[in-house]
Amino acid sequence: MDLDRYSELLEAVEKPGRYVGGEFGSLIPDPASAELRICFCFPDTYEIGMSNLGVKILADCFNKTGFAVCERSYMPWPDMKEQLEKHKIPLYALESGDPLCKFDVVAFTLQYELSYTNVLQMLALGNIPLRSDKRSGNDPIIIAGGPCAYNPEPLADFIDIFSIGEGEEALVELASFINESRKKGVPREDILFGASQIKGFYVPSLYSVAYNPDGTLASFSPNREGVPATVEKRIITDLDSVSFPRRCAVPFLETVHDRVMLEVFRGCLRGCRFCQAGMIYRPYREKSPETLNADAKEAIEYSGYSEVALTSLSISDYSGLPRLIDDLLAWTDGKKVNLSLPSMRIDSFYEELLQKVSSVRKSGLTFAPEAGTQRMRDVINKNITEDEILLACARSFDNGRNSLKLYFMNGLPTETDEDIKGIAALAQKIVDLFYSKKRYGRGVTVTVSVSCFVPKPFTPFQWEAQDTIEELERKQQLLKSEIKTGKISYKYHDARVSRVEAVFARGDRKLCRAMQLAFERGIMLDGWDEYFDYDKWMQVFADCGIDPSFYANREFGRDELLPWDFIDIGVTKRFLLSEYSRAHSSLTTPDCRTKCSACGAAKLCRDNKCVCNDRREQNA
Amino acid sequence: MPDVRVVFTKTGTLRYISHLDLQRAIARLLVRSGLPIVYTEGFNPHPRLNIALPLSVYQEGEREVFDFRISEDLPISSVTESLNKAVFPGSRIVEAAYITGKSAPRSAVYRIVMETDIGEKEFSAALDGGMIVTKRSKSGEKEVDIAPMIKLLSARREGGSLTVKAELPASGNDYLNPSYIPAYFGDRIKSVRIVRENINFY
Repeated sequence: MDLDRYSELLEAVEKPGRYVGGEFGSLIPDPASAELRICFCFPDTYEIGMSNLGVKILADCFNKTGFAVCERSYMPWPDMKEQLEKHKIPLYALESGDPLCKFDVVAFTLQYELSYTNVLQMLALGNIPLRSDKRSGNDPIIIAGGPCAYNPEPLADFIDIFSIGEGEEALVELASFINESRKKGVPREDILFGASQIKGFYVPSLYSVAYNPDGTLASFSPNREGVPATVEKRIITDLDSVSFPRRCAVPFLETVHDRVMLEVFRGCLRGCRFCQAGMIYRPYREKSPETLNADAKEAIEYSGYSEVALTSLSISDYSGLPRLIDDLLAWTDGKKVNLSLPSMRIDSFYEELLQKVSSVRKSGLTFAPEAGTQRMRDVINKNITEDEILLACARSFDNGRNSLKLYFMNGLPTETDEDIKGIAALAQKIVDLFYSKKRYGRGVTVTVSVSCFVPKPFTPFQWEAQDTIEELERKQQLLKSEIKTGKISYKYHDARVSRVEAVFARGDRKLCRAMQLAFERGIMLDGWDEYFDYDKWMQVFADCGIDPSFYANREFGRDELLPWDFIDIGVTKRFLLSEYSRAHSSLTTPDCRTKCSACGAAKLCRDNKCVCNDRREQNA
Repeated sequence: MPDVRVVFTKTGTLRYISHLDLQRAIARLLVRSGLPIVYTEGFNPHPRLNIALPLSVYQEGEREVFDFRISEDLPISSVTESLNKAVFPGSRIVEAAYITGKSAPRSAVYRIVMETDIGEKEFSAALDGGMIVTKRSKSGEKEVDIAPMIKLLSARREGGSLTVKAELPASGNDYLNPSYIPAYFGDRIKSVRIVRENINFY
């Protein structure tokens, strides 16, 4: 990129390295040779966006097509936003330095609800009309995907095409279709219609919505013949054959995940009832240890990174884990490369494994019991007992650790004050456990980090009401008063942030008005404490005639038409309902390997055969 | 175990990269090079690496220097080649050499290109008369005459800009950041570009 044209701006901001690209391994594009120019946008800062594996995977898929060139852009920090606006320079892509409006396709990944306002800010900064119906002819086609696209409605007015599910194959199909159409001069609305004909894509302008007098959804249906009534998510059935980027750009700045990331499997066997990832990423599919080891080796040699993280949900469920760890350790130690397992379930063999992998650097230990009492853990289907938790802690203390971090949630459905007190009691038991034996060195620190429950679409708890802010804050204070020792460090999330998150998580199209007004009032970077402004948001809702409680604090009817019901994730509503009922009877559901619960996701697998059962037979 | 001294450039995009980020980037470059690099001992091993003199953000360097250690003797040409293959954009390995005993930086030569109406004579006169600036340091702000610290090598006016070449002290207890020179003239400088041409060692 020719940086001279931006030097005045870059010398006026705090972290210019966010806006210059040019990292080792980054693409040097030749826009002239590209038939289709795509800019992949991450609606948060560079340091967060560069840590996202999905973006790397998909950018690489585009760049391998031969006809597309994919560049990157990130949400500028307010100092840079101010500079861009002051000099009337549009937001640009880091490879070519060209403004977003010059691209054929601008793609956003939606990783969390609190980044929605950044999407709007980036569109506007990139000189792109905000609303889909205001775009025409040569304006870029705006696509969005990622976990939050499973309820796309709060952004329905702003995004042209949503991608539902995994994108490696689907997005290449879409890009190819857009490329051919643009070459032929196909009008924009016909391109959008054509996109709706490709499996896995949702074009919001082709659907009409009607509401009941109470504000709930009355109907949701296509407004043009030939548009499918349901949008089925796309998945990759064979993870070993799908493209994975072994050579990625290595940022100069320190990013959130500054390491090689290996995606070991997709989906989750567990079925925790609050967890959206555990449902939307089903069915469970593994990558083979051979592929993973080869991926890791080349990625490390290429990048010079000193850490490989195995990033999947509940990594100890991976059937090939012992083999993979041994294969990796065969070369990582010699290269001073560290292995990290950020998402470990507390079970019998985890400490043994951790001992093995921490041979280069010892990292902190984090568990997620999520709830303080057995009753509550059964309700959320976190199949773990207190004995298992304590045993795991005892082992790690015996191995010389003296600090660990525990994640909990408050405001869970059916929660009582006893469950809150149970969090403090469990943490206290862990502290006592440490001192039950003579130990050398410093004392113990148990960090208790408590988030607020946010009901999410496509979970058994999607119908549940979120506690009010007053109730969440009362529970936070109750827990605080229950903690009697300085050995426990207590942290909790801002309940007001979780409420806004809940509004958008279960929102419908009516929220688009609020999104637009929030944008006009300069709301952005809601994920950052220093910029999140609850009062501003409440004013926006009030001025739009929107009651946030309708979305966040209302129990949704089990027979209610939900804004996201038109999306088929494989897992059926019937299964979610049965899980909802089991939760309210404190009944747990076994993991998929122990017993199939007929969630419905198996239909997405090849030959209808769910991969977890399949592998199990192989390994038996 | 031999120490290698490497001369490299830090130009282009790299002028927006901080010293700390550069340090991490060089550590990764050493790992990528495949050379038998020596790591620090202890809890969190990383390549044994020493960058001679931090360069401020927005400044460029034509002959920057870092030292590192390898565990076996290799022909120096192959060391240079391995480093150049692994280097990041905006940088080039100019040369590498084995060194015995480490020497510290003494001074550095800068080229300061200022877009300004100041002429050569006015600049020299300012230098003779003293240049009082407010210098920031850990112990607070202080009024300092920087003129005695500046060894002027040349001052040349061309078009709308004045190019000053000067040698400034760069040792542990005596250091001057070149950005104080344009700062002294305040608003009369429209824009400035600073390039470090060389670092002199004891």
